[in-house]
Order: sequence, then C-alpha cells, then structure tokens
Amino acid sequence: MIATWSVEQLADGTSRVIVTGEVDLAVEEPFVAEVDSVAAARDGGSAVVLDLGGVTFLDSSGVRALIRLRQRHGERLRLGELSTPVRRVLEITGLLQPFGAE
Amino acid sequence: MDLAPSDRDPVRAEESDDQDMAVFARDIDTVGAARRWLAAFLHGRQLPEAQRQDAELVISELVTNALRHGLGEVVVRTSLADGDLLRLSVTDSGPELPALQPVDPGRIGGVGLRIVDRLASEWGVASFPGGKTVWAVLVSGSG
Repeated sequence: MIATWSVEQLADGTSRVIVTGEVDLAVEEPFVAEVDSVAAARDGGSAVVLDLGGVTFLDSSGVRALIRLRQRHGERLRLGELSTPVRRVLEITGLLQPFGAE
Repeated sequence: MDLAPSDRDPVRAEESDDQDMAVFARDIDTVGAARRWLAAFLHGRQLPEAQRQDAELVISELVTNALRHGLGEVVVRTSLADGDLLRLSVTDSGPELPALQPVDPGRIGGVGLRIVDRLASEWGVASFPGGKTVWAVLVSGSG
C-alpha cells in the first residue's frame, strides 16, 4: 500500500505529519512537496515532526526525501515515532544519529 | 567483499527450476510492483521473515537504481535454491555502472547501493553490450 499522510497542528505551533504505508520512489516527490508546504504555512521557527510509526516499508527514496527535507528545513524538521522498518534503514545508512533519533 | 564489476549473473547462470522473471516499464510505480512480484514468488515458502523483508528492500533498491540511472525496460529475475539461497537481479539497457560511494550523511545519492551492500551476502554488476545486470544474493541471516 503506497504511503498516505495527514497533518495535525498542535497547540504549541508544531506541525505533525503522520505517514502510513510504503515510502518509495513513487512517494518521494509528493511527500517532499507536502512537507515543504506544511513548513511554509507555519512560522519559520515552528517545528515539523514526521511521525513514521505507521510506515510499513521505506527504502533509499524515503531516505533521500528525509535528507532533502533536513537540508532545506534544518533542525526545524524532526523525526517522531519510527517503525521498525524505518529505524532499520536509517541505521543501515548511518542516518539515525544525524537525524537526532534515539 | 569484491565490489569489482563481474561478468557473471548468478541468477541467469543458475540452473534452478525454481525461478521467475518479469518485465516492467519505466514508471515510478514499478518499484512497488516489483516488490509485490517478489512477495508473490516467495509466498508460501519457508523463509525467515527478516530475509523476506531484506529481499523486498534489495529488489526495491535495484529497481530504483535502474529507473534513476538506467535506460529501457526493467527486467527482474529471481531464483531460490538450497532452501534459503535467494538470488535477485535487475537488468536495464543503460551503460552506467553503479559503484559504492563513501558514507556521507549530506550526500543525496548512493544510499540505495549502500543498503544492498549491507543486506546482500554478495552482489555485483554484469556488463554486456546494450546494458547491464545488477545482482544480489541473500541467504538467511546475511543482513
């Protein structure tokens, strides 16, 4: 099942993007565009948290999306919950620490 | 691990009866389609769940590379031997050969091949006039 997402605005100004399903080449561009527009719609300082706890599959295209978003939005962009498949791929690619995940 | 391009493709060379192939168009939906094709081939077989998941990740990376950097139709092949010796290969018509790059968290490219290198017990590139095949072998516990 290809990934879908929804966006929640929290009281403290944080935007939470909740992603479920499979993140691959078919998802990279629309997902980056969505998170870009979420970030653009809020104040420059407010955090954008990607909740990837419901992601059942993520490959290098998903990793690319995360790298691109991090390069554009810096520390504003944070990772929230991570599913086991996401955590594993971030570990393999050495990105768990650079993204500030535990 | 020997990362030099190899002139052999163990999926094609293998004589196993237990194999499958499929041809996909150059479309971004092909990555998911190839994953489902492989899942269907492996359905009902006695493979560890971890190996199954690794195999879906590897086929996704090989197909993604073929779509990003290759040319023409994408031909996927798989075979299973000795219970858990799973071979995967992806062939396209592009001349550009993939090569493993040093780790760099700020670098956009090269992530897919790093994943393949980590999960496969062996992988390589078979170059031929008019294209190339990138292949990988997964055994249970190789990830």
